[in-house]
Amino acid sequence: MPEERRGLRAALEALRETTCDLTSLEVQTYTGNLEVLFDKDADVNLTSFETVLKKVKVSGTLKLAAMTKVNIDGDTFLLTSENDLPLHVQRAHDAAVQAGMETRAALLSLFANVIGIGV
Amino acid sequence: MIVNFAEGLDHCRQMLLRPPAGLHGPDEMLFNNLSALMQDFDLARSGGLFHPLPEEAPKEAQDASRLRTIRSRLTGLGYLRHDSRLTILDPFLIDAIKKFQQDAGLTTDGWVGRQTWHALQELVSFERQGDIGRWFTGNNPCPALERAIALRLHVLGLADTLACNEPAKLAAGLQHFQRVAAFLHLPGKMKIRPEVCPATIALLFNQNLLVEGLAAWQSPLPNDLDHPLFSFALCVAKVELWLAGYDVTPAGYEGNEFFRPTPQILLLRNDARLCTALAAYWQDHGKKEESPLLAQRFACEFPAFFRMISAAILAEKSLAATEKSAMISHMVAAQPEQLEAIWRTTLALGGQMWDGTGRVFGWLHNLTQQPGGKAVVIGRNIARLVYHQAMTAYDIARQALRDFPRQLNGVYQRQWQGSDPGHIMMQQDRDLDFKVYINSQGDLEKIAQFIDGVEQTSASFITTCRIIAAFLSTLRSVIRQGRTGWAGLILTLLQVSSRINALESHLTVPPDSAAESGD
Repeated sequence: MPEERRGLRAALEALRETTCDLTSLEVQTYTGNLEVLFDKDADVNLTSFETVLKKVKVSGTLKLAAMTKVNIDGDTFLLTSENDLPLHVQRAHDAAVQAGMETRAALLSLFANVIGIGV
Repeated sequence: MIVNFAEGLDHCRQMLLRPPAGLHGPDEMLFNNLSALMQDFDLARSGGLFHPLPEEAPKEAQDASRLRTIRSRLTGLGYLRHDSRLTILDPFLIDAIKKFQQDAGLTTDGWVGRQTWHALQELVSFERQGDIGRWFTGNNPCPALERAIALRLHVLGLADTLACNEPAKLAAGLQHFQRVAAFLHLPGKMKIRPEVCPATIALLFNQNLLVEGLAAWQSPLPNDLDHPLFSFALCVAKVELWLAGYDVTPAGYEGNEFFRPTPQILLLRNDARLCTALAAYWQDHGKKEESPLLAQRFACEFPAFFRMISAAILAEKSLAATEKSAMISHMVAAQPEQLEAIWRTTLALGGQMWDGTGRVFGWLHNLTQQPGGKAVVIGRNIARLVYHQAMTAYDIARQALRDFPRQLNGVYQRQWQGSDPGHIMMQQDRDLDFKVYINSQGDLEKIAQFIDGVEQTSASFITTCRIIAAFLSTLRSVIRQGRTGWAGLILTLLQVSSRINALESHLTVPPDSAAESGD
């Protein structure tokens, strides 16, 4: 699997570049009454959140609907802008929190097994 | 190919126990470990230790067991005139594969990948019945199914010849089957129609139900091969003995010339191998003295025989994957020196290797439960189970290893796949922290689909990590126990198989495999 090994090397390098601290997780969910009016000729291969926000025309307000911070000791902070978040917003936020927590746990467990301290 | 158990697994051993100096961090160690593991998994395949299905058209045939099975099954279905038993992918075999693929509605590429292999399994094997309805368009069967029906009618003694292209003979065989089903009150109080329709064919291919019907039979039969139920019972017994690993081969599976098969009635008359296998089966189930007599009095004793088979089927269903894995691991761990002999045996098994392992688990379980019964027969059945257990674990671990970089990229990408500013976007900041942007004017269905995708991608990544972690931790412990070489790899796979089997359903199929034609 020489090709796979090259792919593995690249993926792990990307991991190294973007990872400093896996001890806490932060998820922010924004909602907005926006009109997404792209210039038809514009590049739609948008690479980042910020780029998108620069390219959309905001006719309403973009607001932080929910934020969750989970520390390694299990302390969890949840901030929501409204008492009753719309169901789809809540579900999207929860899915991102879940993905963040479980993927980092899986990765840490893999590293632990590689260096010989895993169960 | 002879497997040298003294070689192999060097990379992993060195990496796991003596990591090279100068490593920069855990990611470097992870790379070295996984890289070494990938190399060893490749070596295990190229050295003939395992025979996974090829992911692309093979340049040369490597797997004698699978090729023998494919050739024999295509002969049974009439795509080859006779079974040459050659273990090479010759032009005749390639043409036969193409014709089968065409008849089964698969992509016609001439090599047996995952999809073609599963199609052959479903149509020809006795234990792997899938949804028979998928081979029908309305009430019309695909040509490959018609051939499979002809083969099944012949194997079960319901048609003397494999005349798949003669509708009259197919109809006669199905009428015969209707009479047998009525004798056995199958299925329940309904009466099947003697024609090629999904309900009738599903029953014909439901080997477990046929066994149950025979096990429930109450009165003796005349010892007369002309009696429809008697010849049917003998043929089903032959199939069951073959599945259980005894030395008999069902008609249509022995590689006779397809267009000149021996009539069933002649095969059954004075079939010494069948009689010996029946006696051996009784003997293995604690009937030592009377076993030859029981075999000869099959017309009276067959319900008891099928009750034992039925018990093995039930026993297998009641065994959890962990119990099966433990059963096999303990056996091999107690006598690891048997591994080499086991591997040599698997090379010669052909079709028996790929059908009936479920029943063998039940058979083995019931034998070990018997007070004073025969001690476990270390032989080809154990070889079948060990190879299957290890091969399944090898396949899953290999897929996880191959897929890990793609999965890692999936969760570590800056912009989550499927993000669309018109509906929802998710972006990884750093350290797996996320920002989610939901457009209030977005389509709720598209947003829900995106969330499903996030859940699926992360679940798949987690599963991949868990599989690799479980494998590495087991491998480390096996190596520390002094098990090295390929034996170490096999023991690791056996020990970890139930854990990674349970995880497998959460893995997603990589896009390139899903698109693969033969696969």
